[in-house]
Amino acid sequence: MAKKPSESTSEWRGVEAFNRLRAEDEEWLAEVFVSPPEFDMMIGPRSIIIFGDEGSGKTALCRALTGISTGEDGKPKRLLVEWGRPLPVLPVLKEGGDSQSVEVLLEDVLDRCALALLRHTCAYPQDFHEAGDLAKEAAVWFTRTFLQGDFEMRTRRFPGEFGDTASAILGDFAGRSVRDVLLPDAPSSLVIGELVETLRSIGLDGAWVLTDIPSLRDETDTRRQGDVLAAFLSALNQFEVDGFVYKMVVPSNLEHHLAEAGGIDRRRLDKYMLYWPHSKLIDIVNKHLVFATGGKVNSLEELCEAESLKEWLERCGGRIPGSWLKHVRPLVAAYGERASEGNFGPIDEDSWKEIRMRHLPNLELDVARGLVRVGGRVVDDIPDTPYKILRYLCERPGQVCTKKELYYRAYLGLESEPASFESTWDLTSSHSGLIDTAVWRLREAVEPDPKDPIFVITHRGKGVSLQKSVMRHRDG
Amino acid sequence: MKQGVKGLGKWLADDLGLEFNPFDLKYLDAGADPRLPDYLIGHESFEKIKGDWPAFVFAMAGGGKSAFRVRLARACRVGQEGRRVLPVVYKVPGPVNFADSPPRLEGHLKFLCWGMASELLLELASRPPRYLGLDLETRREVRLQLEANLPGELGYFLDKLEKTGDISSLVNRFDPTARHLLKLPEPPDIRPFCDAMREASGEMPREPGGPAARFQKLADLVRGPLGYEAIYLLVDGVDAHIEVIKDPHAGIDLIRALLKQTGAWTEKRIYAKYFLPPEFEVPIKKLSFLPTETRFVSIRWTTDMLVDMLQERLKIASGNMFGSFDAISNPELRRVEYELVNMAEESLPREVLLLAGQMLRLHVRQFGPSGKLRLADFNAIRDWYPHHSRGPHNPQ
Repeated sequence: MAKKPSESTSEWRGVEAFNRLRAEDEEWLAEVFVSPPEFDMMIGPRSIIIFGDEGSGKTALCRALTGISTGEDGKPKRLLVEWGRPLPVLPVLKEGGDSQSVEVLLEDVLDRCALALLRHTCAYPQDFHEAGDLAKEAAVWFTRTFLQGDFEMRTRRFPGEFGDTASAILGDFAGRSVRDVLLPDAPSSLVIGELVETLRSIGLDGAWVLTDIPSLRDETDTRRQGDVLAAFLSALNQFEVDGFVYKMVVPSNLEHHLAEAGGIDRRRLDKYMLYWPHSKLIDIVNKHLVFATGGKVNSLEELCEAESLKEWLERCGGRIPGSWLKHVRPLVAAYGERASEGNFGPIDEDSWKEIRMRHLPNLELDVARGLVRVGGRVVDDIPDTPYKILRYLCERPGQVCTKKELYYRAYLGLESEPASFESTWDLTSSHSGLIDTAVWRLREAVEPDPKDPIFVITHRGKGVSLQKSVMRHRDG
Repeated sequence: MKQGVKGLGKWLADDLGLEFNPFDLKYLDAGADPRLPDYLIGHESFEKIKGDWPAFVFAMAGGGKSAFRVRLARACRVGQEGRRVLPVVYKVPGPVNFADSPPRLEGHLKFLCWGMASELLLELASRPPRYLGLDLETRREVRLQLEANLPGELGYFLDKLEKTGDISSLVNRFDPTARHLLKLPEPPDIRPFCDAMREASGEMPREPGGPAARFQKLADLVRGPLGYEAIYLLVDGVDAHIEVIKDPHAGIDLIRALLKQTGAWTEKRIYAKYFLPPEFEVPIKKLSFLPTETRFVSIRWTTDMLVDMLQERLKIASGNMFGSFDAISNPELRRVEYELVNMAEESLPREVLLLAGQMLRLHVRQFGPSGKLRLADFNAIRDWYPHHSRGPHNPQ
């Protein structure tokens, strides 16, 4: 991704800037990118694996890493090799991961390196021509040895993309006679070392293998993916070569699979959990606002004057940039409508409350993992009794449940409310206070605005119900 | 990023007077650090493994196994105590690289031949008179064995030597830790060596032979006409594979054929030295077929040793100007190397080096490339480390 200055700082893009990031959006990513904490570690000379939740900005980070690898003149500083989306031939890789799986993956990495090298050479033939004979020989040897499949098929697009010089280069690669620089089964560290030296001879500072592993929905596939990756990241010899570096961005649900991978345990790769402090999240939103409004709105305060907006965003968005942007989006849309009528002032509190009621976050309960999520925020501080009530209400969405019912069935876990003569009957009626307190704590935990609840609704004289919730039961 | 790697290098050079970064995070892996041999400190256990006997070195990951291996290779390469010993570094490949399971000796010998030939080429290229002083027949034999046993074409490696004029390209390829050790010849020496090697091609037919035969011939050449007193096989990387990480017994199976051959090799002045994780210690010591002269060492690090390690690196990087971190710290921060050692997980050298390297990085990030280390830098690393432990992530 080459950085492009804005065509016009006054251009209005509106909610488009708040849509979920797609590959086609990459041209304006540079305008809105905010570097996460420890970005310097991510762009350093060491391999790194970065874990991130959905919406945490993994794809944007990948795009930024690509951008960092491009010089001011638009020329790559290093060979960028995109790999792992998806991981190759996953169905045939052995469950549990082993050296065989590692070999398959490594062959795939080297295949991608070979293709990337060919592509780069077609794009910058002069660097190849000016490299010494040995470097040319090594480059040809590498691509011919490790590019899988038919050479012509794999490179068929390059002449169209780069012109006649590409055809000449490809002809040279296909036809040049070369020695066995290394034997076919030479250790991967030797092969990678040879590649890096070749890259340096053609003006590149080594290679980055950029991996953006997608989330998989199926738990079994996720586990297998994790096992295979753990095996791959335990093959330490591929991390030994200076200048050949993995930059991996993976879903956070793979973290526990990979925690003991040899490469991570032995610090061959750095490990990092992508997180965003409050100040950075505000920065991300503000940059998007500037871009979206052509500079007319530069901050959340200029968008909406509601004092509780930031807290709402924090309680709905958590630490997930994607979630923050999702909840700002309707405000931007509303602002755009007002602006089209000549009203450029910030949205007032009352209007905001109306808008937010039409764009409420989801409340999710994952029973198997005991996980509660409100929008992008993981709620990890719900005490036991409120959790029990939440779970009970989630099983009966929209149904009004009395305090007695909540006390006996949710809190005590009874199958039904007891009769007055049964031993479990509460003579003191203290359940009312207990349930009131629990519901209050539940609201404090899950409601974006506990004073104005949207989930746990009180029906005067009747009980409480849960609105707009999703409950998941997951196996394993 | 204005406070990145370049800022760090500039700070270390301009403000602190260091010639290089002695805690470069790029080289946390000892086996990849070209400067490691320069600052290897004397560890009491080293004497137990360096002689003409088989040896086993046990240590946790990050606990100094590879550093010991590098140090031993260095001692061989510089001809310590006036001896000529050929070190052959053997990083054991994963199970899939062998035809049999568990691997037979022949499988290992193929890779050992590669290692021996690579080391031999390095040594001869760095000391051309050793090759040039041989008679023609022996030179041809050397060339033949190199051709038969190198992991690539000899002609290609010779071309690389000639192109660069020194052995750096081969060192980078075969063993980066050899960079500062092997005597780099003056440029004119490489060409006569390469010419002599090429001229020695002749018409000698390639002798058939499997890995065992080739290994024997190569070893005979090394200990015979080439005058080496012994060959040390430095066996490392056994735990660099997922199967072994999951089950240490798989690691024993992986090298069982080598272990069984250890005794026979000693009779031929080939001494295997194994660098293994601690889980291997009990099963290895139970093996009945190891020679009686085999030595066993478990590497342990005291606080003083780890502090020495940090200080030695600083000393080398400062050209012997600084003996402790106090020299590069503000007065508010004293004896910070002791604090870092105390903080490190399980007193592992790698963790200590990680802390030192990260502390420097955090300084530049927070204060820019200027000034000395501050108390705030130590506080920053103390906050940073728990969230970057080796285990599962601790949330920020």
